[in-house]
Amino acid sequence: MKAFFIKYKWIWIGVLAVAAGLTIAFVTGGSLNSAPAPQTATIATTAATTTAPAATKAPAASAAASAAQPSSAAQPTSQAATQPTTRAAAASRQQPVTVKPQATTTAPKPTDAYRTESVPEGKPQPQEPQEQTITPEKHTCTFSVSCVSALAQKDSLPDSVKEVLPDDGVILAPLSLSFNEGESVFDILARVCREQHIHMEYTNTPIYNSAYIEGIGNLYEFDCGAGSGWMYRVNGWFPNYGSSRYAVKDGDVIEWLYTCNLGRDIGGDYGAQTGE
Amino acid sequence: MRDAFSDRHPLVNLVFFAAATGFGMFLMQPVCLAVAAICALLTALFYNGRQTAALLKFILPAAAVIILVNPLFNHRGATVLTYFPWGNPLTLESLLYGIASAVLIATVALWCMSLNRVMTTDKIVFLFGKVAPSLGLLLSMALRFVPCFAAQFRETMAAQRQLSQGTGKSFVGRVKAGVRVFSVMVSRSMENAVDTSDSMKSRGYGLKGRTAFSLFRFYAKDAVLLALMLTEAAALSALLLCGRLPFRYYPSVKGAIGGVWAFVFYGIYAALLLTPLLLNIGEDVKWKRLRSKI
Repeated sequence: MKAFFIKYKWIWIGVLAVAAGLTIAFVTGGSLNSAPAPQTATIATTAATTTAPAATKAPAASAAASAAQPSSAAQPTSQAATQPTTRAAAASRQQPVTVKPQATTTAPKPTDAYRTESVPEGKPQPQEPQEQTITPEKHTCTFSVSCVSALAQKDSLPDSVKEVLPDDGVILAPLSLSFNEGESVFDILARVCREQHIHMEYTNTPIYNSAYIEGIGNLYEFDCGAGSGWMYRVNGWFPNYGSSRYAVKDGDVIEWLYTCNLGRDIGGDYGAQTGE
Repeated sequence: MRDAFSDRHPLVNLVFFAAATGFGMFLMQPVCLAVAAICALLTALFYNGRQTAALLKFILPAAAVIILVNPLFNHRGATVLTYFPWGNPLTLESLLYGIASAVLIATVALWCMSLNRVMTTDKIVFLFGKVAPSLGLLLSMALRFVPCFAAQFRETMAAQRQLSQGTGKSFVGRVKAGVRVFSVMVSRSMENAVDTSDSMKSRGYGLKGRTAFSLFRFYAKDAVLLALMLTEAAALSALLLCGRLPFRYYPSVKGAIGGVWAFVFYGIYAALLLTPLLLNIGEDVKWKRLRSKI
């Protein structure tokens, strides 16, 4: 047996060489295709998004956030238990590095059961889609879908992504359309995509009581790196809650924008939280 | 099973099945899928005969489930056929991808069926006995477990039926009997496992310096066959890594079906996968020729 291995060692060496070559080719091939490394650790799971920004921005706050995590994991449905996590994340955003865990009591508290932090002054509050009634009253709004930010790194993208990127980055040019009172941004997106024959995929995320847009026009989240995905902007503001909860008003300008870096490249820097 | 391929060195058999299942699992190109499916089916028919039909009875419904389920959860694809009631699109590409993955899984299952016939316990223990004794024993026991369990189950069932006549009539009685036989079988198979490992231990299995007798010898033609298969596998890998056979299903089905390189690839792939059958055909031809000379 031993003699067998020694006698035919070239077989083993050959097999190992082929395996090593394949591994190296696979690894380098994989890294050549992938986009630059993201700045945050993870946006893969929606549940983890609340703590992800804190972990990278402030070491002190990240300790607080991780300390708060077990309690929120134990009772995820209890509002009181979810508060420390969101508070720590919010505090780290406002006062980085120097903030102590005790100081986080001054941070804004969550306003509802869907982990939404308080909405800035003068911006519309989230409207739960379950409570909305669609009335026949007609309004008009402007609607567009764009992925201009993805064009910057077009050369480094795999062919399967290049294929779906329009040359000018405009998937749907600004369109004036009428809608019924009570419709949400998501309702309008779904309707327009069907009418205009644009592909769109979403999943419902009950924890945020909203739809999550995975891809529009076959351009999907994570197609341009781990920090990429679809966000929406209404009248120049990126709402900090999901598109199903944004009740559209007359004259609203709705834009769906593709981000390659958690919104930083399109001016919606909420970290991972508004990746709806 | 004794035939021209099974009689070759176990290493040759192992390399063949590693290559066949390995390429079978990663190649989603339709022509490659077809080549692999046909070769796997022919090989399975050669080694299992009518039993292949019994396996197909399980594989085909599973394949149908995959074809149905993929479009339900996967909505990528440029060609929207229609919409599901909940608003996500049904795309042509997800249907095609579902069909491709169903064929792929059926092919790998067929390969595994032939593998079960060719790679007998003694070959596995021979191959892994020295390098990884516990892995080799575990593999051989695991591969042997299901047929052994089924045979002993029937045995226990017959004995139990003899012991308690009449209880097998009502539904509850039959369930009770079944549960009793199953519990007997659980303890029996655990005992078997302990027995096997104790017995192997007492024989010094896996100890340093222990030799084992085996009938397997590495002949020159084994080396030739092994070198040929490794060359073919390396050529296929090289062609794949150089991007000579690009194919993708999303966002639209695109890729090379024809072309010189594609046909070179199909040829090498078919030659690799048909190795066992070609060996046997060659043996038959030789036998006929020799006999006609007598």
